[in-house]
Amino acid sequence: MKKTVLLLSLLFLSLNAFAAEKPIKVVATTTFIADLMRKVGGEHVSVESIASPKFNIHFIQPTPNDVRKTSRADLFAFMGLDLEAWADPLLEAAGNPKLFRGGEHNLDLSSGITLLNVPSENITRAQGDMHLFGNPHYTMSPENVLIMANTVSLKLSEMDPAHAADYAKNKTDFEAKMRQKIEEWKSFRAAISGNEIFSQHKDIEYFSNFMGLKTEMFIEPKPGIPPTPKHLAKLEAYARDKNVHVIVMPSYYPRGNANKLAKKIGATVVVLVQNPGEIKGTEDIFDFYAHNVKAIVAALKSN
Amino acid sequence: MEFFHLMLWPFLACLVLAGIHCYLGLHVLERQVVFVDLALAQIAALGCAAALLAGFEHDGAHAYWLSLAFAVGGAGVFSLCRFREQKIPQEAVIGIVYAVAASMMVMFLSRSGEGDEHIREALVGNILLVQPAEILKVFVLYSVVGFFHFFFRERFLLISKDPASAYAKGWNVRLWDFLFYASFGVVVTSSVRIAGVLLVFSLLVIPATAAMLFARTIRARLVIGWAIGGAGSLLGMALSYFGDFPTGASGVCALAGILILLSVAAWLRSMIRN
Repeated sequence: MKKTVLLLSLLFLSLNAFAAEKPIKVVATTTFIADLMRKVGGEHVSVESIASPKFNIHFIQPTPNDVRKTSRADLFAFMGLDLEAWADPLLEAAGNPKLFRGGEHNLDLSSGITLLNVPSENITRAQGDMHLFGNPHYTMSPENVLIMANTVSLKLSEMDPAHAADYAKNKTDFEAKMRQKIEEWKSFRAAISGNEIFSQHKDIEYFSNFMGLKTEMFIEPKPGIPPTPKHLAKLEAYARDKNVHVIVMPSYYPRGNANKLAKKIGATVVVLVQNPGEIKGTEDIFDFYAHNVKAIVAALKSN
Repeated sequence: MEFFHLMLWPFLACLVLAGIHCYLGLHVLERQVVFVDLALAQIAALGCAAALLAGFEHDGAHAYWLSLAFAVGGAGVFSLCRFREQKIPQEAVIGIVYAVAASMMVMFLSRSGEGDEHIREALVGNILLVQPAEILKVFVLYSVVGFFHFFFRERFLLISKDPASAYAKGWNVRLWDFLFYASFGVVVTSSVRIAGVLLVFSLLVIPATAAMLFARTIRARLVIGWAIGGAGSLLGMALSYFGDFPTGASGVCALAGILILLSVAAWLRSMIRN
């Protein structure tokens, strides 16, 4: 009898251990979140992402495979605010209420981030800014990724307490490396700080804040609406007045207007990536930031 | 099994859309105004932009009713440009309306707080992510439009097929034209929200075109068109699921594939007969 109990409990224990070894299945909307998940979750998570970094995140069309991935996921991690307009319909189609916004297995990574461009008053869309909740491109600053790593580690520990120590350690290692890199990147600030750059859209404020740059003018203030003649003339005059020599944009927008303006004002057009893997060699979060820092520093120094 | 689970609602949505669009497609082919669909969808988008400009949410009820009102207004323009002795082709009017509506939308949005991202979100649906409630809603709406057309089928069919004899009978052709375009606008405004512009256009034109290859009576054409719409939708779902392609675009290509096969069959049939 004693033996049977022992055997049974052994069997139970091993089953338990077996169950615990099954990694947490994470579906991340962006490659940025996917890479961060892998770094903090380590071997205890298996991560897939939905949006290819080569396209504007606003216009992703999920495929049947994306719905399938999501319906099988244990955790849905996304940028939040109004960046992924397709996320809620995707979750509805996948049909797992735990993953829905506000559900226990839904991880909104914008929580805890100090947002920029939050509309100050209770404005309507007609008067206001593009994003009612504030600028959603917060991953552009490496300082924000520290907050995100913490959010991820807390969530994973909550879902899988058995490996909480591993998550905490992975997070600490990641943090240490990122802090060191941040200091390295910040050391470039001295050379370029205070410079003003033009941006195609309002998607790099967090990055320019981090680098001590100013971005107040945009080539297409409203995405998809071509700039008016007046606006282009204003940009030209402004560039001469304030000595603007760099125009930045992600790789997936057409460069026609930026190139023409660059020619007129003698500026360089620089590609700053929005997600890891948008261009070759940026697949890792560290390389992703390093690319943007190097690109902007090189462009500003050459002027 | 998973295929069934994932693709059931998109497939049902396709069937509901195919039902009304194949019928309307037969009309627009007879009238030679296939692009009226794109023009009306663009006018509906303009209505949505106008709602934004007025300070309403792009996905709220105001935006929906305003886009519907714009689409009905567009129907008014099309029926006003219809004359007994047609001096200008209707296609020209449609093209002009399309370009002007698209341009006015750009102008409206340049004054509103945001770009066209939100408009595209609200107006161009992804059929894969369709909700059961949406399907039910358009099913009811399309049934109402369908019964309306069935009840007055004599008028609607004759005016599309043979307007000269409709005039000869002393009918108010312009009024019936307006009712046709208005009901068409109501259908397109909703269907584009669910399935996107391309799939809606294909469900409108492809089954009807194939049906006209093989049959002459409206009844036979409808049966053939619905069969092709259903088969094309099913094939599109399979292409999307097994190839992991976006569902709307897969549906378009599946429908086109069936049309090509049927055209070859029709050609072979005529070769054998001669």
